Amino acid sequence: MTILELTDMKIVKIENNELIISIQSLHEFNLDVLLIITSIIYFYEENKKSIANVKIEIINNKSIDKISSAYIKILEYYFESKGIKILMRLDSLETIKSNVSLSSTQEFKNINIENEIKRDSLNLYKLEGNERFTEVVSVLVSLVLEKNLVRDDSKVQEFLSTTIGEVFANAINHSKQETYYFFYDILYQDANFYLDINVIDFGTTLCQNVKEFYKKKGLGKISSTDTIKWAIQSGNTTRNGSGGYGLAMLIDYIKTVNGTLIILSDDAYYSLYDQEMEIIKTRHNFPGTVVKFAIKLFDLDNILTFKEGRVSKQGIKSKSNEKINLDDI
Amino acid sequence: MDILVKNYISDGAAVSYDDGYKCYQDILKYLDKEEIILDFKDVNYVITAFLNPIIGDLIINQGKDVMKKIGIRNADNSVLSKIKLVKDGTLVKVEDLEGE
Repeated sequence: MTILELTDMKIVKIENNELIISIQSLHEFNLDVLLIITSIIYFYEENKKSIANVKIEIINNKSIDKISSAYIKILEYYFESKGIKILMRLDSLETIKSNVSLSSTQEFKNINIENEIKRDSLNLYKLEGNERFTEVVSVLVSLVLEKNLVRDDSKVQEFLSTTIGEVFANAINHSKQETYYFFYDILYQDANFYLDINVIDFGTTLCQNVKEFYKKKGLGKISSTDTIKWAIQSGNTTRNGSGGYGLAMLIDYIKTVNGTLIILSDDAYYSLYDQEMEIIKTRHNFPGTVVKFAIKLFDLDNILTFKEGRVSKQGIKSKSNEKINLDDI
Repeated sequence: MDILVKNYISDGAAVSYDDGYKCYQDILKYLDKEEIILDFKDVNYVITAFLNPIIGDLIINQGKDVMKKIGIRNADNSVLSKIKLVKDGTLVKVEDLEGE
């Protein structure tokens, strides 16, 4: 037996070709849970030549929260793609199964918030490319619009569709692979309801993309935390050409509605909470990108509205068959 | 030359950079010969990822004057506002590059 890590939260060891992770508890999702997920992947990758199975033990398994369960399930899919099975104690397995169902996006229809609040489980969706992308985003946006005070519905709808849509698009376009995972939950915290959205991929990471970009441009080395600082600025894109609006728009929106945002990619962790931003370097690398954000519902203190911002030409409309020059927009 | 954006996407949703890039490559084929009209008929949803190549990369690679050769048709205000976002962002980038 070899002990790889020993902390208050977990013990990681290799015994009889099994990577065994004993986790104290998963009763509340937070950064520690993400770091546990990341460290499990790290220890597997570092020792994979001598590992046949991965075994997860949750010591205090009477209460495993839904979101943590969803991330454990996603971890299971990660290892499945490597040909590795995750083993768990039957009672933990049953709890996670009851907390999370793998669902098809064909079943993803309007969210009934009353039913969602009563539910003890959530649905996890595995998406491929653009498959049902717009329907999923449309349902999420409808919920936000229905459960908040909104002025200029169509403009706010369009803005939200773009902002939330960009998160999904990034999971495909920047990760350079087609598969990603999505789930949402309705949270009740501090006497408020939140729509919590999670989009996860195991493709090329944000950090890898930016580091590669820096290398190509001869800009020298850049740290992982600085890659996130760079990526969140409007107009910064790793593509040869224009782009780089998605993350900046998302952050701007989250700040405006006083929501929360987490981005984890490689060993860089970004959080936006209570208008305060923090970027830290994590101990191990997450081999993909997690974008998790929460938006308040039933917010009676604010009205969502959309300001035109930099539109300088008023009354630009396109009627059917009327052509407008790109120069005039 | 009329280019129907819907021919490069599925289900009326223009969300992929790769789809936009295919459209961009076709724009380049005809650009020297005639004016290009990008027709957004039956396009219900657009995000900047799709517009980046057909507006942004086009301006960066062909120069600002290319905008005089590109027309937009059947785009509602939401699509126009995103085109403007990408165009304005690109022009700032072009100015930065010219200043270097």
